[in-house]
Amino acid sequence: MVKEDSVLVLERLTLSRGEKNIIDNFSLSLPQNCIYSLLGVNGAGKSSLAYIIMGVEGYRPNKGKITFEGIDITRKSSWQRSRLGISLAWQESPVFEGLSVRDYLRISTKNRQEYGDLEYCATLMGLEPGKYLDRNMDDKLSGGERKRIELASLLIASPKLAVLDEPDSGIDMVSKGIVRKAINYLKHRGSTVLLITHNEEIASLSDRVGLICKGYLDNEGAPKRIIELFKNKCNHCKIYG
Amino acid sequence: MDKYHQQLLSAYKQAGGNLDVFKDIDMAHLMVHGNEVCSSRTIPGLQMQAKSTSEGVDLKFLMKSSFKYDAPLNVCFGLIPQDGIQKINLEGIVEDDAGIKILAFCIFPNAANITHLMKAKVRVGDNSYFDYQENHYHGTNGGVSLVPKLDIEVGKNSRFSSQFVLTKGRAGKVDIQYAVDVNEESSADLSAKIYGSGSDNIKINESIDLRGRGSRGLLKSRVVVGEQAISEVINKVIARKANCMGHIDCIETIMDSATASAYPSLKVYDSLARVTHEAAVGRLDSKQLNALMAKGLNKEQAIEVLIKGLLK
Repeated sequence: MVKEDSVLVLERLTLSRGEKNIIDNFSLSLPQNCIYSLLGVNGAGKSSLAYIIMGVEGYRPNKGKITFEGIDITRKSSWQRSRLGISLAWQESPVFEGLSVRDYLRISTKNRQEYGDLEYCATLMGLEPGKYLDRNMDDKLSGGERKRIELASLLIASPKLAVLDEPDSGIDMVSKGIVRKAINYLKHRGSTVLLITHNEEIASLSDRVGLICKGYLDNEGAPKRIIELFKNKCNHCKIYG
Repeated sequence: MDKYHQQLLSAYKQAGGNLDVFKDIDMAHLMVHGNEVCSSRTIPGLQMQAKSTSEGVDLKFLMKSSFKYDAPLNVCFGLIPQDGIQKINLEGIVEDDAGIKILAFCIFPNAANITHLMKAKVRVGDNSYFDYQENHYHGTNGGVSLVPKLDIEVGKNSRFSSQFVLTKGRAGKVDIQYAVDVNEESSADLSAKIYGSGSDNIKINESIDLRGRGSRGLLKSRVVVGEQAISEVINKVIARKANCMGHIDCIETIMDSATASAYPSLKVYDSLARVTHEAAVGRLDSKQLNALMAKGLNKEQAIEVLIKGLLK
């Protein structure tokens, strides 16, 4: 159902790879400033949906429509969507030779009227500026450090819609509070947050949860109910082996 | 000061050089336009002779034992006219227990048909070092043919490092031929960063011969070519004695219709020596491009960021 205060509306999206529908007739409406989790097992189509929303090359839907703040963005590229206010924190951020962490974070301040303080956001994500900002974005950084840099980059962008793809992946148990801090910061700034996850603990931070299965929205509702459904149904499902 | 000298100073500044070094009486420098030595200054411990020839300059330098000069020695070779030839013959000696750093700019801002030939032979003594950085600017026409040949012998417990940078404007035809012999417990570290476009033709042929026990060598190349440019990188490391360690690290990135090839060559004569290599030739990483575009950079801006990073 499309509500008037919806920031993002996905209508009957389908993405095919050969004969197979990765995303299948998927519809979703996200109200402003809500935290929404899309819960699903590996291979359910969660990350593909994140890429479709961001407009990543190779992820243009075969069918359906994407509306952001009333604008049809289905044919817009990722950089155009970013400038409209959509940001994605990647599940695995790539390494960049010759680019410092500061250079990388600064990119999120370009082409925007409003953005967060670089050093504050880095610190919030556990990245001590004196220790991290002049380091190279290379493979000497651990996966967890790169993940925190990716989250800091998202906070700096101060997006209207923040898509976090598996925000806790690569982050150790001790640092998991970082993800909570990131979500709280975004909520406080007025962002709408879409969490892509298979982690029930992360999903429990949401206002609402959707269950994705084989690329379609199987169920949707209050976190407690959907998480229970996920535990009882998906964890025993044989679809994905 | 003639008009070419003035224009060369101006181009030197635009290429990133610091004009103050030519005024500072405590800093050594050498400025050559074509076959004319425009100005030079030396400092205690450094002997330098520059003699004009019909098509360039014969240059000799000697860094005397127990003297070290890190300031560095600032060198500028260039030609302001569109056409011409510049031949530089260099003989250098860094004596035992001595060291020198040289920062060279080779500037041909208006080149349409310029040939720059550099033939250098340098001997670095024991317990000594020679660090050489060479920055190039060849204008935007692709009209330079550049052939730098460097033969270096590094003594015991010493080091040689070289950085060749040609990342702005057009490259033209580039044929780098560097060969370094490294003796016991010494090191050689050679890096080249080049951007080519149009019909530029870039060839890097570098070799390190690790002759002494415990000697080390690194050959690092970063080349980005676009349009119809061609790049070929031949890196060779020979390890002859125990505990020699060598590594080749080559990344060539192609865009448009450009082509690139890499030929790493490794030869080891001692079972206690080790030489490794990594070479990658291909297009810009789509993951990196997507990540930058999702942060609001359009494709051209994202490519620029990635190229700058690769050549940084």
